[in-house]
Amino acid sequence: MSAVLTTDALELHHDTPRGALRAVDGISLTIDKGETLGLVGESGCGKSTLARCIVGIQQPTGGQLEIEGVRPGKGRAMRLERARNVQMIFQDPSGALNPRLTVERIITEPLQVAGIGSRASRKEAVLEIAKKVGLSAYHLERMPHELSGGQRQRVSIARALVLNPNLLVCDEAVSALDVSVQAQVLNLLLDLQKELGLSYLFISHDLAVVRYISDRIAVMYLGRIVELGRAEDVWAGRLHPYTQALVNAIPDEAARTEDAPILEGDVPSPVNPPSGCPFRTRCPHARAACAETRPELRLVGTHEVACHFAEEIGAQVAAGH
Amino acid sequence: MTLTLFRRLLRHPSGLVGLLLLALVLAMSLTAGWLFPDGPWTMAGPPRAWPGADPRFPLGTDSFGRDLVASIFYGSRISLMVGVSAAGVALVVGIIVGAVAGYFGGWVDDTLMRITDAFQTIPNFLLSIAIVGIIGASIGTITFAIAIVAWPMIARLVRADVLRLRTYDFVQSCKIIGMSDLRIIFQQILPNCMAPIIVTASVLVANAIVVEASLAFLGLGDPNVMSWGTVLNIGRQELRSGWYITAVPAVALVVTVMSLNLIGDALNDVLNPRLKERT
Repeated sequence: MSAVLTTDALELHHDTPRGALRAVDGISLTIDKGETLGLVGESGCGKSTLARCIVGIQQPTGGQLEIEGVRPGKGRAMRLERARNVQMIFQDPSGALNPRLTVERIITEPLQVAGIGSRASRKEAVLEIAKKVGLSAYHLERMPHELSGGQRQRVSIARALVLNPNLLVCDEAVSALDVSVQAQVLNLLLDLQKELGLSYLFISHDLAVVRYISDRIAVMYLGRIVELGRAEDVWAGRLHPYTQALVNAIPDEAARTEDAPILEGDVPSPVNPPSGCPFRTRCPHARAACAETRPELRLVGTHEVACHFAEEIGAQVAAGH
Repeated sequence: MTLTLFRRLLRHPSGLVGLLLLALVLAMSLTAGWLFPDGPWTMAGPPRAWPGADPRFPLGTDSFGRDLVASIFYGSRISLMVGVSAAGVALVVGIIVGAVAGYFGGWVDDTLMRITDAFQTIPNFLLSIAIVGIIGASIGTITFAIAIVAWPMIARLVRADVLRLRTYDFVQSCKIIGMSDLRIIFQQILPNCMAPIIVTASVLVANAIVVEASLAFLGLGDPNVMSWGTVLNIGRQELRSGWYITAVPAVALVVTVMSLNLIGDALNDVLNPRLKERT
């Protein structure tokens, strides 16, 4: 399988008066063709910043980024090239559409900017993609405020897909929708993936949604990945205390483990992160060693975890069952 | 869109009154040459004829025997022209400065906003007087002098709106598809902040008319054109004996400025989608 996206130790540090803010702090991951990688974490952990680096609206300050094996550059031609490979859909379906343009115009814009096709062929392409996402010619003439939240999100998806990208970054794409509509949009995304061979980077704070849609899951904490593996491995065999806490935070979850920690306090400041393991300030298993060295991602059992005591915690979980 | 806006304006009470008054002033400026072919400067009758004293001069004559009705008709041309063109120049400069500062941020924003601040710290009217005093009084320089003190207000207004809008996802999305910055600013962002700009524009025109009249009143008007300020200036010397010479152009000014303010109020209501039901 060929990788659509590869990042290697990707970093984005903002300069602040109190020191560097490590929004993204060394993220290495790959997304294969046709694969969905789910990215979970609390707000402020750097998920969206990572997404913005991948689509090119923020520039990483360190590390490598390759899209379809090419390192994207800054020039206009490179920007357009990148746009044809990676697109993004956003959380708030009303803010993501220009309120003064018709739906047709909104979906046509990417083609126009890229200079693809004639006026007539663009019209055709727009109608075709609109049908694929479940909109009709009727919707194309409407203004965004005349549509429902779910329909607006479909417009966003159509706009993102009209350039035939290989990778779609979905930043909390269903979080603002009603639960019933959420399911529709998720299923639409799954259908489109099958039909078009798309890859997704699916970002959400909702572990249950991510589990449903993802092939693999990456759990992010304070700019770093703390657990990474196949969706069911991470879900069922979760080893990092942070992942356990996230699952435990889901109300009414049958899979919940009895002694798993409930998260307390806030995410520490990414300007001055704790020494050693960044999670140790909220971790029930924290010991002296955690403050000394930072755990790197390593293979433990079925998948990768960044915790010094992953084996021990795994044994405890196994004993508990 | 413009047509429906106009219709909604007509349905708004203060919009209707404002538009009617403005139409009256506009009609005056359009018919001036046809009704008074001799121009505003000819001595048409005896000097200092009070309004009504001579049926040929319903508003009287000034100290040189010039018909005040003709003066007011011709003056409306200058007032409207200076008002609209000064506001136009201020809008163009203010929108460009504000949009560029708000969109790009950083040092661009800092530089442009310090320049804007510099203009705003100088009392507006004094600056206009100084400019006209230095480069001389003509319609062009007066328009320039009014515009140069008016644009900072527009720039600040536009900047604030662009700052808000540039964080919207639809702007981010345009960046992702590779749209150029200029196109994002002018095609995507600015159409979304037209409402406050349009409302301010009407007030800007009114303000420009007042400033032009004030300059002329102080003797800094273009000596070659008859504006309402020119009549005010003539009337100033006769204030004790013939106050009507001052009162006539003053009423014209009040009516015009009021009509523009009424239109501004109405536009504010009409363009505010949340108040749409109220009208």
